[in-house]
Amino acid sequence: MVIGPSEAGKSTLIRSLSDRALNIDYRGRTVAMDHAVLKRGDAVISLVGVPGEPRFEPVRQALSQGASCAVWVHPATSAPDPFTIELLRTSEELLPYLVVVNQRNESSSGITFDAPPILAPPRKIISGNLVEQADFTATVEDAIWGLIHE
Amino acid sequence: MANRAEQIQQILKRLVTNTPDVEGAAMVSTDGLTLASSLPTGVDEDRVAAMAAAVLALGERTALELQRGTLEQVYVKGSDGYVIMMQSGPDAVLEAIVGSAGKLGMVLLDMNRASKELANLL
Repeated sequence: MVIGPSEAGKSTLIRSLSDRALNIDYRGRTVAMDHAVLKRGDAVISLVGVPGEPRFEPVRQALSQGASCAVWVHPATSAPDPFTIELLRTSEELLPYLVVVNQRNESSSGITFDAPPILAPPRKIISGNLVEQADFTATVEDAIWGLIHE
Repeated sequence: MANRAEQIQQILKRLVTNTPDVEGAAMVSTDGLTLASSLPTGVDEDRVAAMAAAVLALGERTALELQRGTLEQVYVKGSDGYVIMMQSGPDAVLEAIVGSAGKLGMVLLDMNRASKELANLL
């Protein structure tokens, strides 16, 4: 699953990973889910993006059932989102996760992600600009496959 | 004259009172916020609102994907009754909960009427 606060870039990431991605939104705001399928040889990853607005907590809970790992999209300018921490904390087994720090402007470069002590540390933290850096999407995709193959 | 929120509330109340099988109703914005509700006590209207918006959005896309045209309603059946959601204008959803013995034809008729009245208020 792809998690993170609203406006972090979850839908942007999913769209950039697949040209057949599904985004169920209302005026640009995800209200239900995003979905994309990644394939490499016989292996398939089903990516499910959750809505980030706090009020969609029951939707996040429903979508996170059965997830095997998580990709946390983090906007470089803010502290780790409490709703995302809670989602990871309450998943049945603590999911392995990687953090994608989405650096959308120059002032945010160099800012990193401080893993909240309540969670296990992320498997990996990668930083870049999802919109402007074309090669960053490939880096994220490799990291997702790496997480699955662990 | 009552303000808009009161008028919405009145229409919902009328739907719940006049249609015996309707046990509760809520009007929710398409982005998941409660506009007004007349739900049984103990129901968390904010959670209901977010879920209704998500389910309706999924239903809409499913209907399109499977070439069923514009979504008119989403119908959920559980062992103890039904949840019916329908679009009320472009920006809102009317949701009703109905007992398991409910006569759906009558419920849908009344919901359609209420939904049109509500859409005119928004």
